[in-house]
Amino acid sequence: MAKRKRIVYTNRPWEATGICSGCKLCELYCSLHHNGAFNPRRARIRVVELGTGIDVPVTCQQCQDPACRAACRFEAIEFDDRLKIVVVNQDKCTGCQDCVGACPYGIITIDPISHKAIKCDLCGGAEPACVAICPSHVLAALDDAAAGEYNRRRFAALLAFDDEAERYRPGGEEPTFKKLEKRSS
Amino acid sequence: MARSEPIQVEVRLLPPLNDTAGRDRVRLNLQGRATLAGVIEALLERFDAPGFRRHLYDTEGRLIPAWCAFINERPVRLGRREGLSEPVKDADEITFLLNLAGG
Amino acid sequence: MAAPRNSYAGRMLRVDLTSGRISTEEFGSGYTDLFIGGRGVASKVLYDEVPPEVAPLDPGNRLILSPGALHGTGAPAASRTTVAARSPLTNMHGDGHAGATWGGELKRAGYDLLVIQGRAEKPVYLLIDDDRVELREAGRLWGLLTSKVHARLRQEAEDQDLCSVTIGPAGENMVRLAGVFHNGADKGTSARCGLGAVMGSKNLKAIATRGTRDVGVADPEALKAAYRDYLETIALDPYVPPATRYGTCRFMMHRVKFGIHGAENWRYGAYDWQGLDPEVFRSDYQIKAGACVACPVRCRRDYRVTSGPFAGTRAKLEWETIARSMTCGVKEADAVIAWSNLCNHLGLDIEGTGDTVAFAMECFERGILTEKDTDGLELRFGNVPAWLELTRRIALREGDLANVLAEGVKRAAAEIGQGSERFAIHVKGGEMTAGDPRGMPVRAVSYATSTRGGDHLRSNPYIEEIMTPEEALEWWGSEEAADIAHGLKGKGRMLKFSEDLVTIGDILGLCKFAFYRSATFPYLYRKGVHLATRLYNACSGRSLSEKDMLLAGERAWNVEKAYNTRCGATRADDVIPARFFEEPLLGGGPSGGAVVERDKFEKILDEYYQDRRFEPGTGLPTRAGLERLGLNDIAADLAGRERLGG
Repeated sequence: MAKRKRIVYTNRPWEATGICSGCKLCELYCSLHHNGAFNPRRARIRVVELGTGIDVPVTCQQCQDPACRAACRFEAIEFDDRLKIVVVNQDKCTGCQDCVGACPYGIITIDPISHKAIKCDLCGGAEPACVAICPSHVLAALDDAAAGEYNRRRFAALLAFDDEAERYRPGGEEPTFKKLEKRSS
Repeated sequence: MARSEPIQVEVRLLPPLNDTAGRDRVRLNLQGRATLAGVIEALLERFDAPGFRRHLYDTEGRLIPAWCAFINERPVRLGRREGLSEPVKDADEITFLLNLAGG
Repeated sequence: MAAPRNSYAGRMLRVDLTSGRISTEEFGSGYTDLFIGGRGVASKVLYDEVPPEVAPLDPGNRLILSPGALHGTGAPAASRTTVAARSPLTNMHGDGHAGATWGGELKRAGYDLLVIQGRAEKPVYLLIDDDRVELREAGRLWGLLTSKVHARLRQEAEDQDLCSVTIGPAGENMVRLAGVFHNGADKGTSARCGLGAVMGSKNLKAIATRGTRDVGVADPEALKAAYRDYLETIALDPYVPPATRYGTCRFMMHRVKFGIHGAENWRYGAYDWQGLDPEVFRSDYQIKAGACVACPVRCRRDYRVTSGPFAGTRAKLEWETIARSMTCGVKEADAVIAWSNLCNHLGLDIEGTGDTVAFAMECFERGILTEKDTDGLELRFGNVPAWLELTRRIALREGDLANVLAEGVKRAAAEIGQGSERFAIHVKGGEMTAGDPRGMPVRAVSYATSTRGGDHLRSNPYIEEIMTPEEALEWWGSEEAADIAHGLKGKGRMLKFSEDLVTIGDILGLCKFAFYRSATFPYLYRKGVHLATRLYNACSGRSLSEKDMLLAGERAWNVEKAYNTRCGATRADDVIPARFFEEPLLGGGPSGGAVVERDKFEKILDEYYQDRRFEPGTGLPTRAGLERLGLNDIAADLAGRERLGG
């Protein structure tokens, strides 16, 4: 059985260019893919500016028991058999926003032009537009196994980053910053 | 025929060369090639990677003229034809800089 | 509302602060045919609407906000907006740009252009929310820092995507060094030319903008193909990887190796720089590789200080902040970050402020100003606390000296007198930028011909460093143009081309570092002309040729030149400070002892005027030159005012 995928923020915090740059190309090209025009407010992936100089791309976690579907009174959020994720039926959706309030990640939103709920649909199974355009390559469409593998590598890299080490090169890539805490404080 | 003395120079690599080379400094032996052309040849032998070559040469295979070599503190533009035949001596420090700013 | 067929909204917004009248007008071929967008449109509007009888701080001056034609689309690095007005610093054409999302938000609200005129009786802010446009009281916003206003507007609108253009206390106080800030303190600044003072003179604190509409693209596949081509080109261009790796602070190495820092008020070429090494910024202060909207180069940097007297300070800054810090004799990275933070939040231009404070420092060191004048500040080069304190006072016009300095270096020197005009480093009243021109004749002339005063972003002054002799012969008729130190022929022509080229970027809203700086001329042309044209055609649905695009750049330049001429500019204004001609560069180093040779300068300028079809000798625009560009109305206007060359 094919595994369901989701867009994961696969940041590499030991690299300056391994962190979301805040360029928002993902928002622009997501909206282009879905609507044929550019509009970040109609994107299904949004970059959150934390205000500290750090930006984070946030998108649908493709929950297997989604709060959005549970909240919908109109049965407009349906399971897509091919993609193994839920999608919003634009004809049934009334734009009531119950799903918007229910989503713990704040990632299902109301499209300002259609006034219906929109969420990441993995670009219908094609290569996701956001993954393709990201210049820092920090987005990836991963199934659970791949997501687990990524998390393991990342955790290992972070564990190895101690106060003694000036720099190190994981897998021969570019050097790290001196102190991780400078960025995380 | 006089035996040519082995010449050793220290080359300092600035971006983008140091990225590809993975280091900021390298010592090179120039066997009888005591010019900037010789230094570049030796560098390319040492760091035989397409990424490295691409930084120095354009798609027509010409040395990108904006490159500048500093022999100790003295700048030598490599775009000008004479630049490549500029002589270097033992223990010279040579820095390669893409002599561009923007601001 | 129907989806847009291309990247234009088709409307403009006009706001009269005196009467409170808000109106929309068509934005059609009258603007787009010849002027396209961004700086092209802004310059024409300024010419048409602000005659020389209207002074910069009069209500009749316009504040023109014109997003680049590609802003709001997914064209790479299409992030820039032009803000224009008659400049309170130069009394001529003034503009600034910024790589921030405000311009795109204006397009999404449905407007290609915003023109503000008049003066409000009391502080106001403008709210644009799609079709709903209102002027609102700004009493409780007045006095707030740029960052605070932006945050407050977002909070009140309950919209974290709301964009704003604001002034800080400096703009409110009509400091001529004040800038206009996009989206708070750290996103982007239209800093130069005293634009903040113009906005302040109108009692306009902020323009809050929210837009929910689409920005169209006529041919998405052509856009994507051009984008791919762009990525391939920057992968080849060795100019780009250091930009991504270090940000613009890497330009330090260029200055070091040519010894052209402009340190201590443009006297020292070689200087102590190790504390400001790009590696220091990268290792000890950098938060990450940031990006302006839609840009894959990612050379934007925010820096944070975690220890020492400035611990906790965070600021966005670029190379010029570091350069102007050295102009003030400062050598410590954390101090540079603190100063940038101060200027950004108070709403000051670091270029003008840096040169003005450096001027005051030189006056102090020479005894022209004393501690009595500085109210106790020991205003020596490199004295960081005095530097920061004087900057703060300038923003607030606190004390007599700060009040005088707040007028910009040219007026301050006129006021202070005692021969201090020699140390006021500006062109046409606009403070100098970038590196020292001594030893680099084309660069020297490029600073002089800039239409907005002392500036390096009006051209690519580095073009003389990348041309091969063969290319110089093919394009400018002589191999000499490729030789920085010697020769003359072709250099004026090269300068004109590089100015027209870079102007395309400002018209389309494309970043200069992403499109108009390269290691080779072929890469430069490919990005800046070829790809720029393809991107514009793909988004707009038009079919401009590369020649058309270069003409558009040339046209905007001529509009600005005509504007300056109408304001009274002559060849005498196309000059750089006497310091560069007469005082050999100090400090030794590779350019130690160099000067700008006057006769060479004038000869390059002569060739430049000729290639621009200006009147030989005087440099005035001519009828033939203007009409060739379709600027017949401007030619007629200048003729009527007897400001047209023969």
